[in-house]
Amino acid sequence: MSHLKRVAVPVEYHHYIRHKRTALVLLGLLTLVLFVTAVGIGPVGISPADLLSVLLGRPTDTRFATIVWNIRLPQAAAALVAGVGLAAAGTAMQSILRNPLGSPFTLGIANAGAFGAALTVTFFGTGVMRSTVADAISITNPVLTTLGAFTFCMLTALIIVWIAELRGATPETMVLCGVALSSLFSAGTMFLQYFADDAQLAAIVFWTFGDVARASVRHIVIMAVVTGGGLLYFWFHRWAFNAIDAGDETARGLGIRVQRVRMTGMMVAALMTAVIVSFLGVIGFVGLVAPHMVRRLLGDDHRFVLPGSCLAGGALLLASDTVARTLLAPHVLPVAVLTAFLGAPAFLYLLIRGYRR
Amino acid sequence: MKLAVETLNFSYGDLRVLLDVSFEAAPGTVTAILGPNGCGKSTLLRCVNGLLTPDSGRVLLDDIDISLLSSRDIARRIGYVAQRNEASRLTAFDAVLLGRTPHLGFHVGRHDLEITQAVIESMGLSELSMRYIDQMSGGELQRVCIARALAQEPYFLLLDEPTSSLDLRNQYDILHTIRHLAVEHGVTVLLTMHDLNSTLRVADRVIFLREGQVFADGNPDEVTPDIVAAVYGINVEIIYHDGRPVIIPLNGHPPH
Repeated sequence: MSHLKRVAVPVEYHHYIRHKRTALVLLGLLTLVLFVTAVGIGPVGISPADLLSVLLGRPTDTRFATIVWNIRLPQAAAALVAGVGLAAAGTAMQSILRNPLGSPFTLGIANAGAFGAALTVTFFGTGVMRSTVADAISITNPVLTTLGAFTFCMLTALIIVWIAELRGATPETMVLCGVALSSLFSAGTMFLQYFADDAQLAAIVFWTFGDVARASVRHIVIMAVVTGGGLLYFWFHRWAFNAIDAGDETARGLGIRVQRVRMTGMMVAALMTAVIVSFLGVIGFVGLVAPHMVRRLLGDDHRFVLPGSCLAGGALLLASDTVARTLLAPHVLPVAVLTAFLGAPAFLYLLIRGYRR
Repeated sequence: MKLAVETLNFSYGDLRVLLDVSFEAAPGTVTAILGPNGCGKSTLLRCVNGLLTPDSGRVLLDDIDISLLSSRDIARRIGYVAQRNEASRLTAFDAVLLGRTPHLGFHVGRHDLEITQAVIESMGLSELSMRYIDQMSGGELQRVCIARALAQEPYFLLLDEPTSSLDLRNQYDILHTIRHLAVEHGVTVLLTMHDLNSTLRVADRVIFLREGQVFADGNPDEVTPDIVAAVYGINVEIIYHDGRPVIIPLNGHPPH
């Protein structure tokens, strides 16, 4: 059917695309503002002008340079990268499983990562207590801990794909699967905690409270590289995800190798989650909430949902972390405590709106 | 382009679904596969499209064996409209643009957008092109799905029960479109249907499957009450209206 005459695209479509792009730019600006705010807010306030002077290497106050480079910037960067990564993983999982409840946390992948990390802490001694209050727990062997978390994240991802193949990826199946796997790995973590010594127990408990403050620059670089690689993979397959949304048979009829995209996509999403979880601990619901916020705003087209969810995820975690640090100041809450509160309204929203993605 | 199926056999485990199915479909014609539920119609369509790999036999697209083609190459030749289509929050334009997937590089080019718009206009979807498909009626969504398959610029179009669950008006519109595509655009159409009378109106050729085998193969005028009785287990009378055969079910089942 190669005789189709090409026809000029209506101006409405160009307007439509421009609106979506404008929304993405605005979301990007919001994320930037939240990033600057996150760096500026704390016991010592740093104005955007002071921040700029620090970034340009001409700080107005040397204390500002120390605070920005050593504390605030790494923490904000960790929040941004983790938010982006978890939201991207959630977006991809929702498409891969054709299920609105897909996210690293609801499917039990994050808990599996926590169990894997706890296992390495217990049996390989990769976690130690430190005497400082600010940094009570440190992962001494991030490679081994990441491998531990990664292995269990991947194992869980495989189980989920297998069950989805066996029983169909209905919302009910996925929720039950997530509940079952979360319970299993929580039980496993509790088992390890029971037999752990004081230092290991503290390490596991502190570790389980997801916190963006604990990441070192090296950790952030690793997370950024893995997240960046994952995003490239997802972006390259954005049309495949759109096709899978239209149904497996339709996608295969369009030349998409659905099984391969599903398996590799799930593995990439699990890898991104594993790395973030192993460095920062369990941070729930960002991967579920951010994509749904963006789908409501931009629709299901992955050309817009993917970048939009990433920006929304980054913004959400930056905002949550800033609030967690300032809400009960001088006490600092781990950000996971706050994001956990997002879970209830997110589920209620899905319940009221229906399961449609 | 010609479509040829040669002694196709397919089984799900021990269950043999297709047995030595052979036929040819001439370029620019509509061929309908008929038969009761579970006789292997959809399986045959999936084998032709390369979605299922047959145990033995070949599918030839203009003398090229599809087993030698990549899934992307097949998608550039065959447009497929599945029986069940999910509607996500995409505009009709973007849903049709999705049909360009087998032709896309890293970016959507101007050419892809212009082909999409051409298909939208030829399918009479211009008014709907900016609407989200998850807000569309069954008939509108089916037209979008056919348009998506046409955006693949296929030589062959496979449709799995394209009119099921549509009202009379939408059935008529869809069948008219299918006829138009074959006659005016030279697309070779292969479809499965349940409604015999609709099929006899749209098809150039009908193939009756019974228990995975070709039971009868001919043009609509050659359909007899005996064939229908043997395939569906129901007595019918065939009358002619406006020069076309019309099948009317009668009371009572034929003797087994």
